[in-house]
Amino acid sequence: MDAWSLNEKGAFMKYFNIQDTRIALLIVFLIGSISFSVHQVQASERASSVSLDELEKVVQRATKAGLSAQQIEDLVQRGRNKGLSNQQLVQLILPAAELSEQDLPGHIVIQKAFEGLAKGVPPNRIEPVILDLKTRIQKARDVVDPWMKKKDKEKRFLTKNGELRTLRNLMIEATAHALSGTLSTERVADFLNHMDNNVNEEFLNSRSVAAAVRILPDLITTKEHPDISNKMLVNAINAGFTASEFHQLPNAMEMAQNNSRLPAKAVANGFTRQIKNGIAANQILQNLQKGNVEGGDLPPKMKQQPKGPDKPPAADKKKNGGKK
Amino acid sequence: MRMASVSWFIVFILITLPLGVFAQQWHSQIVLESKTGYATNSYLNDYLSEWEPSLSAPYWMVAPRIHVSRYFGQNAFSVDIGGYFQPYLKSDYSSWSGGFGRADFNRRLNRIFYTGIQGGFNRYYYSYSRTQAWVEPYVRWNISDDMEARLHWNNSYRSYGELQTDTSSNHYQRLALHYQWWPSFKWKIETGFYGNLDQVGGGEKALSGYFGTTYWIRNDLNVQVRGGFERYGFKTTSKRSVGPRCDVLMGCSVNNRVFISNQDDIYRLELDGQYLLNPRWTFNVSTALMRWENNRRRAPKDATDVAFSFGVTYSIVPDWGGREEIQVPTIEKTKKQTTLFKIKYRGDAKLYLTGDFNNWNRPGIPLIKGPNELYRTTLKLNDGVYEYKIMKVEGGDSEWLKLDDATAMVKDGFGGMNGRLVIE
Repeated sequence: MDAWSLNEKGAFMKYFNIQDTRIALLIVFLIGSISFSVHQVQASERASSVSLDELEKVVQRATKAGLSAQQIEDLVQRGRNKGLSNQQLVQLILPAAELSEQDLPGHIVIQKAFEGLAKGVPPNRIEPVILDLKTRIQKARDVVDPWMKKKDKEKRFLTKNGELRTLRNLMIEATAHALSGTLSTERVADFLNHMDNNVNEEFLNSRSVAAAVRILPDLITTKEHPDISNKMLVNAINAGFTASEFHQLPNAMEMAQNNSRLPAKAVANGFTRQIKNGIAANQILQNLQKGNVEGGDLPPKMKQQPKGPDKPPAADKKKNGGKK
Repeated sequence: MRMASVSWFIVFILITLPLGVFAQQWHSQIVLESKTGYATNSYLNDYLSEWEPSLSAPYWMVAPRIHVSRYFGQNAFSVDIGGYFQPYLKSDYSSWSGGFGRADFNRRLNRIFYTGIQGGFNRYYYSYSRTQAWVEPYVRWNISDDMEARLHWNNSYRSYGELQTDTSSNHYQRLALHYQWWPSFKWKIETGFYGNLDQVGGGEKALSGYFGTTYWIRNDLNVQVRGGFERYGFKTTSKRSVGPRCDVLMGCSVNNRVFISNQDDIYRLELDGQYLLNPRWTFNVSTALMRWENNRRRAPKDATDVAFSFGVTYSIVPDWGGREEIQVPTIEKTKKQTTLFKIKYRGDAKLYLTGDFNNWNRPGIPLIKGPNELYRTTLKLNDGVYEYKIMKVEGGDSEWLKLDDATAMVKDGFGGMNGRLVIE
């Protein structure tokens, strides 16, 4: 290495102060960051490789399948405002379109997408929720359609509640929600069979039956004693519980259990007793919420202490024999 | 004693009134229990449980009390405060009077285990006074949906005053194990065992147990049969003049204390019936048979006691007026497809309703503040089930309003909860 180059190099390094380790590290960091950003942008471009035309086609497919064009347009607009790519929008709309093409309620999926966006949920977390919902709706169809063919549903429901198709959609929607927990399709089918065999036809109401299915996984007895949940719900249907009252039931039972400190089956027993005792549904719900499991305003038992060996006969104490 | 009775009722009123105001945010229940009957020993009285075989007479009793409870999240809290008055229907007998209180706090650890602590006191007057206080931590285990076991560690204190002899007091510790089982909708079976941790006297440890079953003949009528066994070992001291006795350290004394250990056994059989006439009135009938056997030389002979009573309990749930910051939203169908949504909220924020019905468009439908801090809006909705949330906007900040625990809610799939609205 000649002297000139050494001098020049030394001056250069001195001028830019490159020997300063901190600056060198900063440059390396900047170069790394830029490379990473470029890579991310490229990846994003690859991910949004769906063109606007393709998005349009999915939108048209969804509206053709029966979904509201205005809703879809609104979803696209809100998605764009949130910075969603064409690809991500397609992933939100396509499952709904496919469900509607199968004569299933795809609008539920659109609503879930709206909800996710409104709550600021990242798109990569909305997509799996939507796909799970789609799967559950399809499973619900596999339970509800065979049930619809049994026991002459047209005769039992149609005369009072309108179209049979409305009943099917209600039941599919309710069953899809019921399957969101640990409940299996077999378990829902078991409840529907139990109801078919035990319900009093006088009280059959499609919305109440759908509500009963919908709350099935939320009842405190369902996990360990599904037969008790079956009996409870059929008793409630026979007692004329409305859909609204059914929806309050899981929460009321949980509050009853917490307030009364009784096991789930005892709460279920109390609930059934109240029904059979002729107490009105809204009163039963209020009782349960207050922990009043036995019914009415039955006061809690008041014993000073459980009987036990802390109260010996005390025969050694000289009391005055009770006389004044 | 009459002054004492009046005093306790005044104390009851003074305590229950603030509790009532307090109860505006809590669930409260006022209960008036009364009964009449005959007993040959007040040990058979659930309130008193005081060994008094000499009080063999007909009686009537009245016990007003207030029960207040609150459930918040995983925790539950309840308080009972009451008074007691029991005259005998025999002119030369005094009356029992007094007051009692009990508080319980428990926390749900998970779906199976609860832990809690219970405490209470009572003070009753007759020709003497008796005061009891206790505190007991406990654990409850929901073995399954129809089985429950509880383990209590009880610490009790009891004292007597105004006896003809000196005032005395005792402290006891014991463990109690309770077990309940609901084999079917009509049957409940329960059993329990108690054992004292202290040496209760003379080297004897006290223990007891019970077994009972309840059968619902009809939904509003049940009978309960209960059998129990109690064994008490306790010691008494006696001063006897047995001549001077000398000790190197203590010196000599003329009177020596002699410890005498005793053992009493009690057998019980109880039969109770309960009839729920309507949500407010409950009728009760109760009979009890008790056999006492002891091994004491100078004690009274073994005895059999009986008790019979019937009574009525009246209870109401008072409406103290709501003061909660947020109440459960309510809906009211005003006409076809028109629903009035209302929620009571105390605060300065603006509220907006958003959900399935407006495609979750934020901030949502404004809730208009009306009288009594009631926020409302009218929705045009078809029959169906809708999910919703309420947005609270205050200053530049916005957040979802946390709804009351009693609100019908559902998991939203994103890790949160939505309110559930049913239009029908």
